[in-house]
Amino acid sequence: MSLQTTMRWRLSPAHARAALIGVVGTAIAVLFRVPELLVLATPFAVVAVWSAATRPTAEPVGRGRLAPAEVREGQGTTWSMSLSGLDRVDHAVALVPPRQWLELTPRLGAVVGDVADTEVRLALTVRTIRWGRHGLGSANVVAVSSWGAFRWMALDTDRPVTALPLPPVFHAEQSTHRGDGLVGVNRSTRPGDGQDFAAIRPFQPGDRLRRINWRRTQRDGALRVTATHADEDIHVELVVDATADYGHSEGIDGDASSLDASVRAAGAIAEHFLTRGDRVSLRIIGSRPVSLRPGAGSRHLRRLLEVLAAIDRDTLTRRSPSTDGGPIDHGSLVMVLSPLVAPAVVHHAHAVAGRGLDVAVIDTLPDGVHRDEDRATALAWRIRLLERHGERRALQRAGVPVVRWRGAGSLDPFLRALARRRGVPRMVRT
Amino acid sequence: MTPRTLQDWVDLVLDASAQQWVLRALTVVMPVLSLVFAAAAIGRWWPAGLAVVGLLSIATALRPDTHFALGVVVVCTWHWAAIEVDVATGWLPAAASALLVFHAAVALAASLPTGSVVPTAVLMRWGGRVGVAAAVTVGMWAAASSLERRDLPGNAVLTGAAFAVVGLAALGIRARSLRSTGASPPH
Repeated sequence: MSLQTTMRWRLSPAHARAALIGVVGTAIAVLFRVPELLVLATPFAVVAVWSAATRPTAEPVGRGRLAPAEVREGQGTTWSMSLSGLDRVDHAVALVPPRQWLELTPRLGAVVGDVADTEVRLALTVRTIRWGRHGLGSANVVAVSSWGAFRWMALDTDRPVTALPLPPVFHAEQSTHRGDGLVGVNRSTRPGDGQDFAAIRPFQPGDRLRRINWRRTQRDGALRVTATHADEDIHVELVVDATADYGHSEGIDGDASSLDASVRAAGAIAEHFLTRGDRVSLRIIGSRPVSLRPGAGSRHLRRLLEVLAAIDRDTLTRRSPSTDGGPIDHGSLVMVLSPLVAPAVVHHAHAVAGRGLDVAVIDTLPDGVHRDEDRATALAWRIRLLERHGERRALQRAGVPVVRWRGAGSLDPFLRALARRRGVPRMVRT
Repeated sequence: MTPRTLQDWVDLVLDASAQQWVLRALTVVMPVLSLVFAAAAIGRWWPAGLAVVGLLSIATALRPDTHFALGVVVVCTWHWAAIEVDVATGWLPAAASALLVFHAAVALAASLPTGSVVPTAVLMRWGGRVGVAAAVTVGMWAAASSLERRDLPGNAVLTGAAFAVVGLAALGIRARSLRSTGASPPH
């Protein structure tokens, strides 16, 4: 039950004031024959009698609602409170206190409803400006009788809203790498039935007749067929480094922290590959490691975004994170999204690359993170960034491309490099 | 009472809606106006009273849901009762109406968050109520000034009856105000 009544109908200081001045002033005026005081006390006596005569008799019934409870960041949802049983109630007020990452309309979260009948609906718009799970907090609901004499108060508590990360527009022009399957929309490295042209070659037993290139056959005087690459799907493993959050987050309309960039980029990449029919899995490295098994389709995308939204940076710890999230399928394309500050994640990328898998590291450290008013902190950052530069170079020497996340087309160089590496023998450490 | 920092007060002022500004202005101006009316009626000022009422009014404007307003009304009515003034003066109902507007403005401001915008229908309804109460006040003033002009002798029966009415009204107000509305389970 989310609506908790904290007060019954209680008289307000205004009613106490009117009753006291009205009764005492009138009594003194009558007793001591002070007609001026009688005139001055009359309006208060009128107000006191009016207020007492129109005191509400029944407790209102409230029904709070937040719908939809799950939105994309930047989108709005509506909190509403329907009050009924408002007999003799003048107006009702709702006040939702400001919360971080939530924008309220009206801005201060206060809404007043005129109780024309015995019901009123108070509503305000809540816009989420950062991914994650947010609580609306305790909304105060107050019903007020005539002259503000009596008030009924209640609290509507614990309405959670989940803001799924809103991926920036992302697309990759390059086709991806080899895979094990022979279904999907990507060009395989192997010849087979597919859409992408590979070569024109002599006819071989087993070739389908519809593959015969009759124009070339007529020119060469021998049967020629159009060979194609097989189509395939791919498995993309996303590894999100949630060990820490660097930089300053200003929500969807401002600067992004490292975790913002990682989560949004992961969402964008997942959405890109899942809408193409590929399979995507997710592994979150942090104090609470989470894994999501490979899947495809829009429902899997939603589940993946929910897992990303559940990353709570307030519980992140600096202790050594666990990178063990189970085995990675052979042939998977692994994308590590990290600010590359935690050494454990860099080691994980090395380890995955050492197993012969295609790995790319997407650097999500924001620019200017090393700037700090504290000179010692700034110096420490510069030293760490120098070390980080060396670690990036080491990753690249190990054949792991490191690219900065810049939205659309960020991964094209990486995917192009992977396509070139197709079929090239690689040494696998065992 | 939750202690407020200076920043809280600044936010309170900056976040106030135009309607709240009007209500708070009425809260400050109306009690001072009632003392100005008293000065107009007797021809002399009461500077100390103006200062006290002004300060109490400002405190009321900042914290309308407190008993500062009661202090304002007590000081103003005490001043009017203490000065030698003809009840037939037109300044008296004007002062009573000013205090009525003050009370209504404080009561409405106390029931609303500072940044809220009140529906026009609510404002109209409150204006109508104030008009009715002011009309009754003017009627009482007319009756009182009429009786004062006749200079009638004291009447114990009438005085007793008046006391009985006041007492019954007080008991009725008390009974209805403090009555419990029963249990209030969570919904």
